[in-house]
Amino acid sequence: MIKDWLFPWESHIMINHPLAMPVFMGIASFFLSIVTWTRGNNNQNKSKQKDMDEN
Amino acid sequence: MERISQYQLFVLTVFFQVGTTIIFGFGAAAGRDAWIVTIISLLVGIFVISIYLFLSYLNPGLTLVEWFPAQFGKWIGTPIAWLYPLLFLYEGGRILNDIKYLTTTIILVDTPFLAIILFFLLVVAYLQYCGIEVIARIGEIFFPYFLVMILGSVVLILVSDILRVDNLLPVLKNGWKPILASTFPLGASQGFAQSLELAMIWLLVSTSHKEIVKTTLFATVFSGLLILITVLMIITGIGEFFYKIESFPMFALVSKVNIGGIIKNLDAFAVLLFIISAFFKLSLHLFFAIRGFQILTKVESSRKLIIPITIISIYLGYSVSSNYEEHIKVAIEVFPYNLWIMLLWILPFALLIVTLIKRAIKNRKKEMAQAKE
Amino acid sequence: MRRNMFFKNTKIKKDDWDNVTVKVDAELIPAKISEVLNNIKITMGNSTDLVTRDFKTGKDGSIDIGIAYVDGLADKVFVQDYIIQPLMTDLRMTGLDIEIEKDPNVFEVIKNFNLVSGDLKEIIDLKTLYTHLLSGDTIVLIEGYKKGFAVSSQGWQDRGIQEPTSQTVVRGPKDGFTETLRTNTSLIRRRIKNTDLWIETIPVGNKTQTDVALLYLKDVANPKIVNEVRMRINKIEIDAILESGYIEEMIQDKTFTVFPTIHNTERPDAACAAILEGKIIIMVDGTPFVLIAPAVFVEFFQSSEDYYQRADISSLLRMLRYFCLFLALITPSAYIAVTTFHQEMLPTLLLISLAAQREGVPFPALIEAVMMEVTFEILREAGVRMPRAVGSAISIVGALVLGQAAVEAGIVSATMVIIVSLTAIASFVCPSFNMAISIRILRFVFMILAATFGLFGIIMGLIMMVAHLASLRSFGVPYLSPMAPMVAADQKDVFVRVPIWKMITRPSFISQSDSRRQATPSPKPPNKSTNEGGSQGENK
Repeated sequence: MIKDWLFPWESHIMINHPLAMPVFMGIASFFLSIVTWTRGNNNQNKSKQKDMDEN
Repeated sequence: MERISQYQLFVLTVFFQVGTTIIFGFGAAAGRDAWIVTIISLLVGIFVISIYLFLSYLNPGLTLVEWFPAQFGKWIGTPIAWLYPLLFLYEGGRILNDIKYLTTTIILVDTPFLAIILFFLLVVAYLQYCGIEVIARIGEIFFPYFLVMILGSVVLILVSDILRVDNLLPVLKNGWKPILASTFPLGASQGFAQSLELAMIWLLVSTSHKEIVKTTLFATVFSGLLILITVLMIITGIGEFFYKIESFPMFALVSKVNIGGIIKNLDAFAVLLFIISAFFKLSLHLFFAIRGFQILTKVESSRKLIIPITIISIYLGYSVSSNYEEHIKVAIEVFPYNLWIMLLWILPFALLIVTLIKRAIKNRKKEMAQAKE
Repeated sequence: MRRNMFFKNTKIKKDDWDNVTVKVDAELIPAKISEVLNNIKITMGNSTDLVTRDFKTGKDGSIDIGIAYVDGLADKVFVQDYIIQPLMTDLRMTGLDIEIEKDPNVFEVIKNFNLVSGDLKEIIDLKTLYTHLLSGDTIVLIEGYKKGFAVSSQGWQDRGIQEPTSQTVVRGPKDGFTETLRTNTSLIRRRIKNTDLWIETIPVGNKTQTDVALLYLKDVANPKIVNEVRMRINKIEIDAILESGYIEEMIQDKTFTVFPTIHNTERPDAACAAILEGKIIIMVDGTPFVLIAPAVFVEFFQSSEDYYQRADISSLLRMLRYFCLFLALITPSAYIAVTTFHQEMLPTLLLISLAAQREGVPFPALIEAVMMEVTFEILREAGVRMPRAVGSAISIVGALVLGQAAVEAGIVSATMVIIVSLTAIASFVCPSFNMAISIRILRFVFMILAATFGLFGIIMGLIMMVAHLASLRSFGVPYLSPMAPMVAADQKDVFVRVPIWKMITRPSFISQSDSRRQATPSPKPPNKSTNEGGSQGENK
């Protein structure tokens, strides 16, 4: 049962539990968002600065 | 920053929208009325793409994954934005599976599909290293040949006299219900609403926003017509029954071509067409995924992400579908409902409403401030 | 973006380079002739081709003169008649000695009244002295002056202007570049009589001091590209330059590629056409092959004859060349793919005939194809390197032993021999030798891909090849322009060659300045009023 929710992109789980994939993606994107939040804003400013320099 | 030209945008949009449809057919569930589905889907598609273009106008200088944090705020917007690169990855995995099943059933029966996936992804990864400019340039090179091949096969099919217009009759035998059912969400999303992904590169086009709108809409109509021609040919060529049950209807059609016993077995044509269009669609999916990851993780160079994303794609290509029946079933019955409706329709519309309200409030405040002065 | 970054660092100017060379070794010429002549002899190790001479002249032998030249580089008769003769005899017999009495500056008098030569330079340091001496000039020194003359007296034996052997044409000029830089520049100057044709010479090679000349049309060539070429040549630090290939390898954009990114030619008319398109010619002394930069992919499939024959013929020939490119690249691999993986694609009769032929062949198609292709490459290489006299032996071995006998012995199938010959011939259709080689190398890659993945492998290989081509640049110009990025106006000279009166602009991907080529109205028959004379004649 738990296995179904760990690999929700596999076709048989997509068919049997259609909601597994959206839930999985939601959870995954929340955890990935933590990466975005922790990397903070100063980094973004730096990269924008770099872009401008290159242009 | 890399730049692409207006014509390159046109080419990439057509390749992206036509994609694998050219082999798998369009709106097959509606049977002989699939061409009506195509037309309605095209109209709905034009509408929804206009909305995406309007969104990009409202969020100048931002790509798809930056729209949501910009409008919904950092805490709600970022998780929503992250959904998109994940969707692109999954769709890339689906394209790989398309290729896996087509090549192993038709041209490379004995080759292990993992080898095919690895080889295919090797070329795609090389392209990711070269960047979107190079992807756009090979698009430009292959586009004329792609068109010539389509036109060539149209001519050969017409000449070999296998089309029966009777196959289209009777029109609307089962009423509008099956047509509408296969138009939404599948028909209108496949290719058309999927073009939301192109919002990742609209920024890179070196023309004004107005020109981007024109080019994208023109490309949409163009690819809609290409799909319409294909669908009409397939239905009149092989009939409703085979259109519904064949795995690769276009393929079934071309293998019927026989001109005087000399020109026949044009399977290679169809495979060529399919591989080229699938290749571009996969390259774009992965490019958008890598781009999305790069923007959201704030990594400076997207090159560092190419290898990890390619490895994930190999895994997805290996595991997304366990057999062809399930693969198609997911494509028609599950995937459009549980992912596309949410990501391609509800969220962009919500974004549009929020953006418009925020704009209205802002304008109101401005007016009030002016009135006070 | 990337292009801008390239051109940011191109601020080194020509003048800087000149200053650098002068500063290196500025040892001045001593005033005593014997000292100088000894210096020359010692420095050159008493080389046998060095000729030095000192003699006295003037009214009562009061003026000491020394001359030096290199035998074989300088024209002996010229030195005799126009340098030694005037100095030795004319200085006494004519009234020049009176001039000298009036003006004791012998140096100026000799310069103004005595040395009858158009190209005469004053030299003050030993380094320049050696440069001139070794370029064939005659050095004239006068006792008591810390300077001398370099009189231009070059006159060595060289190969005359002959028909080029590498890029032959049916119609078109038959002259080719030679090994002498001066002759080569004159061939260009004779064709483009324009003050905007600028020639810059940069000596390259610490040991050889080879002259490398840049030729470009000043107001047409893109100054950024000119600067870039100049900068890259200035960066070269090498002992010797013996052929333009040395330069080509050291100034190309990207080294990890099989495709040539700099074009070369032996034909002055092709070089002129390139200059007129805004490209830059790099000439190297000592070789008839000049380099053309920047080069784009389609250029390697254009022959100068395309512009001399009628447009429709040239267009057809050009399409034939692209078709042959395709043939040379994938015929063997397509054969391998079809016979190994996709037999069902062939018509049944052909399939049966192929199968019957392959029945006795003990190898898989890939081995068979690679074997034959390698054999052909060996034959071709032998044909280029072997002495002319044994040529017929090679053709007998090639045709009879390897072709007929191999088939009869059942080692290869007859179809394979046909395919290999077809690819071989097709690869020679490409007007440019170095592009043909790239195609031959890639052919083997495609054969391996076809043997592993069949048709799928060939398609993916083609996509990868095009991607690689699209990522190449030659001096900042995308290699696949004008096809990708697409420039609609420049399609006039890619797959078809439009009539000359339709080629209104220069290719825009190289240079945008002075882009209009002509304003000729399109040719049409004379209108009726002028035509009447003719019709009256017919009536009579």
